[in-house]
Amino acid sequence: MNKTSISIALVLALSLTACIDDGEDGQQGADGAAGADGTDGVSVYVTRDDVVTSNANIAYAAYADSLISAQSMRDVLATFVAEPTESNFTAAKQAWLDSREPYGQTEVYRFRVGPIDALTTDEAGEYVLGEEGDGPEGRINAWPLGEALIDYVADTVDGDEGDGLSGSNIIADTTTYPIIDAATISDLFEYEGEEANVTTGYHAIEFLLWGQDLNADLTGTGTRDATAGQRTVSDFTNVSGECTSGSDIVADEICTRRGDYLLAAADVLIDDLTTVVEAWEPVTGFHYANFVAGGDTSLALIFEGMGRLSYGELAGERINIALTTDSQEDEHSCFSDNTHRDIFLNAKGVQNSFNASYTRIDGEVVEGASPYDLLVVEGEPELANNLRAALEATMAAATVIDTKAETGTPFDNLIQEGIAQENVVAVIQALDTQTGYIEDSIDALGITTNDLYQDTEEEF
Amino acid sequence: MLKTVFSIIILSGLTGCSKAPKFDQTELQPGGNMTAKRVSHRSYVVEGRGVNPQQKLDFWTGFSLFRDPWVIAPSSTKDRDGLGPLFNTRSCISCHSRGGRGPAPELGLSSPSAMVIRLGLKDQDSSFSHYSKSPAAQTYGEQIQTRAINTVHATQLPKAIKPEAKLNLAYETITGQYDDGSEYQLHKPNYELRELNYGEISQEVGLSPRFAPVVYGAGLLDAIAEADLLAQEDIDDSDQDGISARYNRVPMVKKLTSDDAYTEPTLGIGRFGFKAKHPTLAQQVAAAFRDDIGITSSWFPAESCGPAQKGCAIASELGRHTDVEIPNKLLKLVVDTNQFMAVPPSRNLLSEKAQQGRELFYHGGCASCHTPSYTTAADYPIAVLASQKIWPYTDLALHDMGAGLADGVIENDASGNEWRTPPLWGLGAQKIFRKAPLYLHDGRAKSVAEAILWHGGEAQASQIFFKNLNKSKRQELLTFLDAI
Repeated sequence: MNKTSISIALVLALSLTACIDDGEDGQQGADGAAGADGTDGVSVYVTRDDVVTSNANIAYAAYADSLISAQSMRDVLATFVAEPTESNFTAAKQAWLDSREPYGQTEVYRFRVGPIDALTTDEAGEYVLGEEGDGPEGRINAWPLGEALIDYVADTVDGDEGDGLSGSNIIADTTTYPIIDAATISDLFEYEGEEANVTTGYHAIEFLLWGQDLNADLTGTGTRDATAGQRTVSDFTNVSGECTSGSDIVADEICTRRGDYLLAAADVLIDDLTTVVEAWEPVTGFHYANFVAGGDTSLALIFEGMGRLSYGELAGERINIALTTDSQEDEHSCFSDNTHRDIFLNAKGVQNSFNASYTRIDGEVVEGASPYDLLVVEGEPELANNLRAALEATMAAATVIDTKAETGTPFDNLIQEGIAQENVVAVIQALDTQTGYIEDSIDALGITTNDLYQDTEEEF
Repeated sequence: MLKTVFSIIILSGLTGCSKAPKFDQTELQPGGNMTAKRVSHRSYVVEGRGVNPQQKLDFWTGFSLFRDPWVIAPSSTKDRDGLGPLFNTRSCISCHSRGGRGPAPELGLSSPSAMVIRLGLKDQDSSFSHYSKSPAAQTYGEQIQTRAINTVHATQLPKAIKPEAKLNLAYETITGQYDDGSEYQLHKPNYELRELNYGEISQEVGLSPRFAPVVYGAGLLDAIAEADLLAQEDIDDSDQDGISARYNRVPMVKKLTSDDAYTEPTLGIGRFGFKAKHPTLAQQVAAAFRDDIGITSSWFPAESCGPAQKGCAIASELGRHTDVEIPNKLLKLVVDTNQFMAVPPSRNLLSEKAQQGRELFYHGGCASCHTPSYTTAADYPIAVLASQKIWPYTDLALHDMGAGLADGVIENDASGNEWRTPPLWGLGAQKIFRKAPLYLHDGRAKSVAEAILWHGGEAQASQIFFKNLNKSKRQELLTFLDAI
């Protein structure tokens, strides 16, 4: 038996447990013949299990950062509520923006029946993964928000007449809701079975800090301008007789209740993020352990999440629907005009997963075995490179949206009819291209549990 | 020799039971171009492999409208408002979970969403020439809506309108025996409307329960050539095989895949709905929007308020929509989502057990109504759906399914005993992401075996065939049905 056939036999024998090649192209990692620098296009040797583990480690880091920044935001919000000055108001808004940075990068962990989508408790009160939709995602990040249920809204928004029923909302209704705390707003989430009644999460806090985006003249009509929501600090004042709801002077307690709501929403957010972080906790977290032991099933989930976020969610449901309807309500962070960051960070999350690299909020870089390395090791260097390039192209296109927003043209302006939309279309097209390569990777790695022509004996 | 066998198959195919034809590799991709790339472990919501980039984008953009709940108008989300005034549910996905069937209806008194009760005249002689002439039609219309919006107005509508009724659901367990002596249980439902807020419903009117069907593959059913369906029609059972396929002739609102409405009343061949009430996928989607969610469109511009439900009309006006609630542009996107949702690839179909079950499927005469295969119309206007070799296992025709399944209610040409043959593709995939899948038009069957055992009427011979099989043979047939 010559050397080649021995190694083929080895590959066949071992391919179920780990992917071992012929030993000449990286099996010994940096010490091997190909070295660490990718000589001959060969990357550092990694196994499938390594890639799964690295992906789990990054999940923990990104969710942990989300929790840490939510807690920091809670402190800043508490300071603001106690001392509602203009500078504390600015700091509160900045803390919210900061908290979105890590969270946006975690969304690549959605659409794979992971903790964010499916975490729930069983009859014994133990954490388990249920079905998609059982998890805390809706409470954390649902939008559009049911803002009219929370606080006052304008009669006209984005040129459309509002509901004309303002006056009845949680903050104004002191009789029905004498106390506003975490329990009050959690109980009202999806109130009366109405999924649109979103009362918690990042976007509830966003609405309370920014208010509706009504243009600089606050008319809610005309062409959208570059301003975000312009809630004034007097909506939170503790000076008696000066509390406002927009342009109206209202009872002092309304401002107090608005502050209570803000802190309650932060508390609920922290609780929900905590459960996700604990599920991903290395070694001890129940999901971490299961996921890391999941082999090809877990590897498939990594790619499935990357593909589904890239295309269905980001390109379709987050970008194109806003373009199609030309509606701010279909814009992710419509109060703060921070949608450009949502887009950028979602795309960044996909790139992070592929490169197995995530920069934490303290600057530390968490790195590991990447799907890129894996594709190279498994003989798909071209595909690895194509996907790398596609992800880079997406980031370049998303950076344009980001830059436009930072320089005076926020996303809600970019989607308006009659305005050049090619920058937005470019992001959609780039996401399409990258999704194609993600699909190709799934095929190349053969990680579909039941492919078209692979008729396994697995029972369904 | 081969030729002889072939012609025997053709002949016996027309008389009910037959030998299975040679396995065709295309059976592995039952949706042709519109098959999913792979079996998902979480959802049917995935685009067919052959769609072009624009179709893919439309599919996912439409999914946003399929998934997000509709809210009461007026609201600050004008693109998503117009719910009700009377409605069963707020979003498409709440009944078509993951693109499949909905959550099970509750036992006892409830306001179910994925289970709707439609109303119509009973089969027997009636004093009304048509359902629309009955008092129930003046109030309840053709469907009981179990929810209502809470809009009030100081002068015009001091009190919110009431939901039409609640459903009281009970099951009676029926025990039976296979011929090999092993026992089975069936669950016979009893439906009763309670808290009827708009008056009693007269004896002539019957209740027709409907449990939300799967969505995937619908675009391909729309694309089957009408001639290929009509060739199967055999109203008087002239071939005397005990099976009399009949197509429902139903009003067609608009031309196929176009926004042009017919100016004269026009009938089409019913394909969608449990009694084939709608001739095209677009019409089915628009009807579900209006009847289930209360969203009007250019297809059905009037709310589902009966002429005698004055409050319903006022509540609708208070929504201040000057035009229909879902514009054509957005409705088309939701149709795209339905149209391009992929059929799952077959699963384990090449296994020996499934292949033996395949023999039994043909031998038991199942294929007489569950027509295995078609090639979709070459001239269907959407190229990716045209000329596809598909394996849906349905003739889309009406069949008498016996007293056990009958709702006793007429719907256009469909009698009280008749139901449209449902497609079987992807049937087994439900088990992948549903802990407790349900089958049949009202979800009464908890397993495919139960569903087969309910078959009667024209399908009685096949049901007897199944009951006569021993356990391992039954398992083979069920394995095949899980695999297709």
